[in-house]
Amino acid sequence: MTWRAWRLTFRMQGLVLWLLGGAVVVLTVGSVLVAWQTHETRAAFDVCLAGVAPGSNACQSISAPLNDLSLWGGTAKLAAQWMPLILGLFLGVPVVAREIEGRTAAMAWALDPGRGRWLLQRTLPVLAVVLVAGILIGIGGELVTLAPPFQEHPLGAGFSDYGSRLGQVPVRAIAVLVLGIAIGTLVPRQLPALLLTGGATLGLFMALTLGMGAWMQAEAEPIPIDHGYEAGAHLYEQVFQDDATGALISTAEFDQQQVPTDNPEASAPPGMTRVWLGVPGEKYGLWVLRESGILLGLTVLVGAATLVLVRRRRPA
Amino acid sequence: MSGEQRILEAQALSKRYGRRTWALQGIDLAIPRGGITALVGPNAAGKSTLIKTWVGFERPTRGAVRVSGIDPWKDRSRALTHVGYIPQSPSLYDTLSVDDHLDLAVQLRPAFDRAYARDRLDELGIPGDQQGRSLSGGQQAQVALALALGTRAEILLLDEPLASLDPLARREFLHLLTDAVRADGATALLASHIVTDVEQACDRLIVLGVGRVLLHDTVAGALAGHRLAIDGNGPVGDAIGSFAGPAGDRLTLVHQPRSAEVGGLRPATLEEIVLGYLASGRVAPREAVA
Repeated sequence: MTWRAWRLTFRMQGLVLWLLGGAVVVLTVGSVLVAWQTHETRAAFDVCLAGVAPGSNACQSISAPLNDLSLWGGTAKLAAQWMPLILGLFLGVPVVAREIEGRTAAMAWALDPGRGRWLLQRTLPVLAVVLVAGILIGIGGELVTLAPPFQEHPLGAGFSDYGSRLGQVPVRAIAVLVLGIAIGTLVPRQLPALLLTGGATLGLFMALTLGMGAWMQAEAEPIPIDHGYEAGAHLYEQVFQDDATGALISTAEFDQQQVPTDNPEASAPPGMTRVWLGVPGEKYGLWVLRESGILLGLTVLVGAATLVLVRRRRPA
Repeated sequence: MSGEQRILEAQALSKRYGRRTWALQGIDLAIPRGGITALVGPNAAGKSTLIKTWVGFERPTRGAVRVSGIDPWKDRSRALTHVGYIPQSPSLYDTLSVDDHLDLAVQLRPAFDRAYARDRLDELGIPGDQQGRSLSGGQQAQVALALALGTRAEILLLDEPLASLDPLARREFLHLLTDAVRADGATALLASHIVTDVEQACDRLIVLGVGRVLLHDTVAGALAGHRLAIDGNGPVGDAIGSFAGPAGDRLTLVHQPRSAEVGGLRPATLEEIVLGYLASGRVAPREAVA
């Protein structure tokens, strides 16, 4: 593809591309600023705390901005979760639907004998934009996650803010983009296609969340309590682990057996240890790879189906 | 007509939409290489459907079509390399300039002759930097024609490009088309329901009515082979169809060579010939092909 083809595709996207591009820039710059300010303020807060007596209110003037930054950070992370879906939706649906609805497809498809080149020329530049935007948003999300105003990540962020970070954002955006292109090809009217793609996207991510959740729970393992280790873990519940056999007993089972414990919050009966059941934070990368693999696999399948569909469908 | 000469063919072609609506019913056509053929018929006669089957956009329900000997549904890629096409009511990209459209055509079809298309647009005074959305309907049609001509395809399929144009724009469009076809030796099929315009430009005439070919002849042959009886005067044994004249009289189109000395008949214009055939096709059933 030549630069001219890229330029033409960008010009076809028009205002939507500029609006979404602007939103991505604002979100990324905002996230970087929030992360930077949080880091600086937190450092000042820690220095202040080290210099005052315990229980003193001397550092309150620093903790107030930290609260504000926490709020802004939460907003940025929420936006980072939704932005890839919005990007994919509004840039993906029009790729084919607008051409058929606007009756330009007939002219273009008569010029491109195979239609494959046409689809590639329309899709690749948009795909590149979404990929770059997703990476930028993901970097912003990653920085905000790594600059927590209050909670420490002694062993790394792990599963904290799952869905708003570099690992997931670009892949999710591309998956929704290709889904939008496919539905826009099936239903070549932009508004119905947007609504359908929105519904399909919610359905896809609900299924993904439930499926991945069940898979993660099936692979959950005991995690020691009170070592800072659980901070980035994906936790389900506390259970008791038999020290001798390693067998796990849920608290419900434990209560049914009515084994007396002196302090159910922090201790366990002799021969047993209270542990978390969950997925350790260091397995975050593995699970991101698994989710990405599933989404990219679906994306390839949907993309191939779209190519077949575009080749077979009427231009109007 | 030898197989070599037939550049567009349809054999027993039928096309059905849904379960009951037949757009085309048993069409047999063979259009020879070279010149401009007018495809004339009323709305819903099946003109667009016929053209779209040749472009490979519609699959025949029955029968077969061929473009330069190629089945466009089975091998659309190869068939389309022989075809330049203007869809009905051609639309341009709103946000792209005229030159952008030429660039786009080059991207989609590397063999596209950009300079040739640009020259045609220069002849019409359409500036390259004008946005698609700011062009009039006539200018959009001219750009679409330039895009079709720029393919330098041997076949041009033009689906009612004149419909939305004013008389001057129609004249310019036809002038550009005839010049290009004569210069390149191309074959053009021009669908229209404006007979007076195509009369000057076309060599052949196909009248399509309710999905059937009612007449397929050269323009000269059609004019020579038909005459008109007014209010039933004259021999109307070979009557084709009757329709109301401008003065309220009843005109009947008959098969009768213009050279024959027959009283009560007058020569028919091309428009009257088309009207006579359309009147004959009015009674044809719309549904259910045997």
